[in-house]
Amino acid sequence: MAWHKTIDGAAYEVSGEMGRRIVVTSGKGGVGKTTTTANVGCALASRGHKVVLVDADIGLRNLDLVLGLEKRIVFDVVEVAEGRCALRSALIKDKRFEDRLWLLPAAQTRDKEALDEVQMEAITRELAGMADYVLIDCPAGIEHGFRNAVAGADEALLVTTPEVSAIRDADRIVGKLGERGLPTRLIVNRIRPELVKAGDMLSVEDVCGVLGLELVGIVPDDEDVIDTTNRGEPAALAEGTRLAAIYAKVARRLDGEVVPFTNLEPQSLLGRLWGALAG
Amino acid sequence: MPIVRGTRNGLEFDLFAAPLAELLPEIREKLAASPEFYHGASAVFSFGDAAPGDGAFDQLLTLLAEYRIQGAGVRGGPAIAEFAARASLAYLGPVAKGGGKVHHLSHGARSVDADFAGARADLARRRLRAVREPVTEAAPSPVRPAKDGEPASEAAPTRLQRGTLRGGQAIRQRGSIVVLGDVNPGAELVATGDIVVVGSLRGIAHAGAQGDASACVFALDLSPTQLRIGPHIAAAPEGERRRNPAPELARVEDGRIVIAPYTPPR
Repeated sequence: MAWHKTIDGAAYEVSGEMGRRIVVTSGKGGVGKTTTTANVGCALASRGHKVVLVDADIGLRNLDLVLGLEKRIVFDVVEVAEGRCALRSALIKDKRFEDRLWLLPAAQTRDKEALDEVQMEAITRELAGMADYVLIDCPAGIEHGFRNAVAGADEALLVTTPEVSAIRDADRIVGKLGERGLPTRLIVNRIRPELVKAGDMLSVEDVCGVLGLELVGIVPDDEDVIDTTNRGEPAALAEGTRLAAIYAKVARRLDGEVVPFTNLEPQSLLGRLWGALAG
Repeated sequence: MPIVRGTRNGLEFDLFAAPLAELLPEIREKLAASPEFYHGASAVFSFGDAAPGDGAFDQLLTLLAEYRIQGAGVRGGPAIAEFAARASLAYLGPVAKGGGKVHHLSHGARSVDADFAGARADLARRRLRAVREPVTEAAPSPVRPAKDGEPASEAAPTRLQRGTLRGGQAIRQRGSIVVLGDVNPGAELVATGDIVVVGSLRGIAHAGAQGDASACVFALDLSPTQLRIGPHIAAAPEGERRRNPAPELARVEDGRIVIAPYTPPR
């Protein structure tokens, strides 16, 4: 344990070991970054990790809604950066997880320029001192907001849907992340096995073939996600459901375990997936 | 009809709608919804004409004790007066009619102090910073200047906002804010003085932002995401939506935010 001087001048005791800082990004909007951040965060917390979710989408704050924490926000990441409050008071505890899941909300009444890369890096570094995982929900695009979100990360989790437009944007992001040397893993979101089978949707191996990343999750398109998102209860919390099991596996893979993929589509998909993984 | 109301003097339990044994589960549920909120409160029970069964009443007292709520007195008809003597509680007379003076907590907001301990400390510190760091970022307020004969306002200026404030929009004002329109979720009002919304307040309002706990917030429909007055914070409870909004006024009493129906001064 050591004393760590924070950006707002207060000192906290932190363990010497730093948590992993992972940015959740996609390039294109609307592919499920925020939902994925919330669900993966919940799944990691369910495994006993201490997790802080950071909403880096300044001005278009959403992560709080997905988690159902919007009413409890007092301070936000911009106010922390400006030294208007202690980092601790801006963190919101998700009571469903005792003290294992926390949210650092974005500012809603400011814009992306209210933060810079140095501030973001300092904040996430401090959070990594008190948590096992810091997940940063990145805004869409490749501009200022993206650069801020990425500046505070050591790894990336790329979310994409099986659509050519999403994949093109994702590929651009992979290039940008590569320039910064961030190891990047992939979640393919909103896959519909029946469409893939009919040849009307790109398959997971098509996506992997283009992007060439380590796959950590295949999430089916599920109506439950819409419902749970609107109610502020991430799908990963609904124990016993297909989605909860899938996100639990994503969490295990992030932890470094080798976990077989859920068989969404009978037959060869699984085999081909393993091929994609090995390659 | 709410069973539990917060008043100036503590909690009031209205128990005349049904036999006490039937109401117990609902009371249990209400208390469990925000356990810490009721700590240390005293309770007054209002009955109709019939005294409750001793068994059920003992259960109620045991339940309240779990939440550290103390029975203080009972209201009701003559039968209740006798019951009060037996239960050794104060008899406070018949059930009050009308309830014009009753302050109720919520529907719009409930104090959740325990949640916000750190944040409240930071808000309180703002008072110390107030001298160095004025809140005002707003353009000069478009309030019309005082005419001859009208007393010139000595207080900080009031900002008048015509039209609805949408999510992401904010007004920060040294002085007070009047909004002619709605304040949508995600919008923010921060004033060192009072806040008046002639419309629905569904976003965040912070009155007395430099530590003035005597500030108040008024709205035709007071359903904020969150309400702050000075260093005090209240959040709307889960899952309550009102069908017939009425004008309400929020202010701080005994260290917590209390919302009461607005009755115009005579």
